Amino acid sequence: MSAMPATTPIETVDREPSVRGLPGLRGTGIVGHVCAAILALAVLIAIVGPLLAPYSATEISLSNSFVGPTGDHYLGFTGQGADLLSLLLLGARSSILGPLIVVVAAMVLGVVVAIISAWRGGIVDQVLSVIMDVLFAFPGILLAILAAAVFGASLQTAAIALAIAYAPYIARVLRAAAIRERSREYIAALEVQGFSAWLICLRHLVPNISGLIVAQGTILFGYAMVDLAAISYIGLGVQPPQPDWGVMVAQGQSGVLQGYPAESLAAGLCIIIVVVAVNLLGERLNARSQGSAR
Amino acid sequence: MSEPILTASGLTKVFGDHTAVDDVSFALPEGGSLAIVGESGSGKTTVAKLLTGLERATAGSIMACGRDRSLPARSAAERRRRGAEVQIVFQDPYSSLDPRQSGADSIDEVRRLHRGGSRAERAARVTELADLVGLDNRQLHALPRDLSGGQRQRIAIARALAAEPRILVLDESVAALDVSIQAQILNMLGDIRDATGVSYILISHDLAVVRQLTDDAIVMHRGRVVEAGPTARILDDPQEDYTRLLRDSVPRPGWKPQRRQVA
Repeated sequence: MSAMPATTPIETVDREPSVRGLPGLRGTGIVGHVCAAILALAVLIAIVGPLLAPYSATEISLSNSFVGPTGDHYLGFTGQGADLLSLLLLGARSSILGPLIVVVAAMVLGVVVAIISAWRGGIVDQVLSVIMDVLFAFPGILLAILAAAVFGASLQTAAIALAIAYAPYIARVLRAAAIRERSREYIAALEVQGFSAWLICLRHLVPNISGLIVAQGTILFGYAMVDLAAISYIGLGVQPPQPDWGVMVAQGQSGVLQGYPAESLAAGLCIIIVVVAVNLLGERLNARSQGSAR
Repeated sequence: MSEPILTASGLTKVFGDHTAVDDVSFALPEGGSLAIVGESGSGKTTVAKLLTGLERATAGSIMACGRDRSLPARSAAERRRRGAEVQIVFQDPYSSLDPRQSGADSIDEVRRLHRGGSRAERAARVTELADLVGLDNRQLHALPRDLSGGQRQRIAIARALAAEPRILVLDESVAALDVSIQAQILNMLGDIRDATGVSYILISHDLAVVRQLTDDAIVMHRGRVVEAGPTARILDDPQEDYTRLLRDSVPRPGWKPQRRQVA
């Protein structure tokens, strides 16, 4: 009998306790947790900001124009003489609500299109893919400007236009994941049992790609926030005097030229902090959902 | 002889310009078991998909439990009825269970669809099915990722049996398991047949598996049936060259791999 060839021990892969689909933070590391904390704070301010703001947005006095920080006004005044800190606190609401509308609407649209494409395949998939490809041709901002021209400038119009523009991106990524999941045999087993297609999708298919859905939604939030700020900046989103970070960056422009950049900088900083936190968290959630895919 | 519980006649499935299944006919007697044997690509898995309604036949008809199932189900009730007639256990135990669902939950979901009953009644039935396939309570409530291939396949079998089907299609259901587990599962399938009277369609490339579990067999090659008859006769005294080739390519005691002569 010949000697057995030496075999290297098979490396056992330590499977992390799976977090598939759980919208928790496991596996996102310290950065993920810090980002989540920043976002939680931002959302809290968006909700209770008006209660925290010491002054109202309309309490303006031109004599305070560009006055620096004082004992009662920690961040000083804007060019129009409003309290800067109060404006930031008040502006959080529309600055965060806007992207939230975009994310929810784009995700619902994207998930529905992706699931229908993956489930039906064939001609349905092809038609939907062509429609998505056509939508790809329209940059989000352009679509929002068109929508503002037709329906009038407002946060809702801009948000919905952006959602429609972003839906194809979401649909494309989720379609691939849904097709992969659809081809797995447990779905076929459920079909043979006689479960209806929508029940299988709702109870099994969508939950099994929920990790990716959450990750994509998070990343989209960052994009939507920057785009909405840009739209508000060019005057087609949130209308002044409603406080909004994007509007504040725009209104602070004259101050920048005169050597008082505080308003634009402060609002811009708020946008950057939230967007960076969202993106870092989104990337980590995305990596996690890829890593836990079998 | 009793009326066949499942009859396929002239079954044909064409994908594009490729004929995967070509004029296949067979009959499965009630309580019997039929093997479909052939190499990869012979069309046997396509037959399984046709029988379970996952694919629609290009031509031919399928009768199961006295009712035609050649066309897609029209209504939810019809879909459910078909589900309670023919069930399937797939080859890969790693993808045939929902990774988010414990065995108990997936069996219960099927019971709820087909048989209803109170929560306690269903739970009792789930435990009964687990006993039937030899799963303990911990395994039954574990997520698939914490189970071995054999344990997962037991869950897949229990889930298929939950609807109390008359016909169970086993599509290479033990091929992914190691030999000792294969033997356990095959014995268990034999016991289940004795206990429930379910009929089997066993799709396999493994002639040893076929011999252990089936009475009759058909041999498929390139989508066509090349030989049909009692399993023992086909394996011991094949009439067709292809069947002989298939049988002779199985390694057995005393078998020596021959080095191919290089010219």
